[in-house]
Amino acid sequence: MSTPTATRATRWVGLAAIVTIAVLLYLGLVVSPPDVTQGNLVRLIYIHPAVATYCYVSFGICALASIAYLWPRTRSRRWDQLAGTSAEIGVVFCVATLVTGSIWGRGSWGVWWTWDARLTLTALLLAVFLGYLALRRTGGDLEGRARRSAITALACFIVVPIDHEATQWWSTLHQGDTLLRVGQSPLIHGWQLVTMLLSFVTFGLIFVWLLLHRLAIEVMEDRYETEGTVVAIVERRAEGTAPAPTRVLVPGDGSVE
Amino acid sequence: VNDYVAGGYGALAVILGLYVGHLRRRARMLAKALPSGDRRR
Repeated sequence: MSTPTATRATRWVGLAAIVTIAVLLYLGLVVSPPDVTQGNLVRLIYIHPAVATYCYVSFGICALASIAYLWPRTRSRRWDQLAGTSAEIGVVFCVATLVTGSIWGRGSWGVWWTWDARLTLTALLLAVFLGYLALRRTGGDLEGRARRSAITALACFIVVPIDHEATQWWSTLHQGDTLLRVGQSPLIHGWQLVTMLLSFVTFGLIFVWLLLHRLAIEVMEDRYETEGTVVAIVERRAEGTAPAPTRVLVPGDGSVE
Repeated sequence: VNDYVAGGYGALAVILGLYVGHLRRRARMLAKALPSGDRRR
């Protein structure tokens, strides 16, 4: 991505992400066998759980960064920037989770949506973090806004563990964990297991790549908000001192050089 | 590969693609708006 936010790190992570995406598509759509009960629908397991996991990770980073901002010893504008950045990517991953999950649900359950505890809580998670992002766009001084946002992020994060444990706590249509089952082996084996593990690596790289770019944009936005206007005025004034065509305002028909 | 699988992979590609496009536009707009030499500090 040839943008002002590209660095050596984003290029390497981006390259690694492209390679793993290619391998994941090959393993997921060609090599890995269809499931005994779900048939080819099982191939959605190579995207949906990983996307949902990084949705949780994003909101987790947002909460940790918010704690770091609120803690007087570690208070830094960088933590607030990281919290906002991570939450935005989390919202994108949350939308992707709901959309891919809905498509999978239509194929396996016969419905696009049902008011199952897991699905409902994931929709609630999206709603509360959209509210958090809206709050970050409100006016006021940067410090006050950052403090309000950090407290709100912690309140919003409460939904994450409840959403994750929903399949254990309530009787849900949504299946439970496939890989991390307490005291039990994973539900899938062989190429299916390998491909699913690779999906976590792939989406992890995509997540880091997006985070690095988005963080750079956040820093630029902050600079634009705090200094951009002042610096622009100074530059304009400096330009005014250099020899340039004289612009004379003439009443009626605009300017004449 | 059935239609649901194609739909799931396709939808994910569209969502991520739209977001990346949005980030690119935002970064370029800010780079133009910020004074030169002051874009990435």
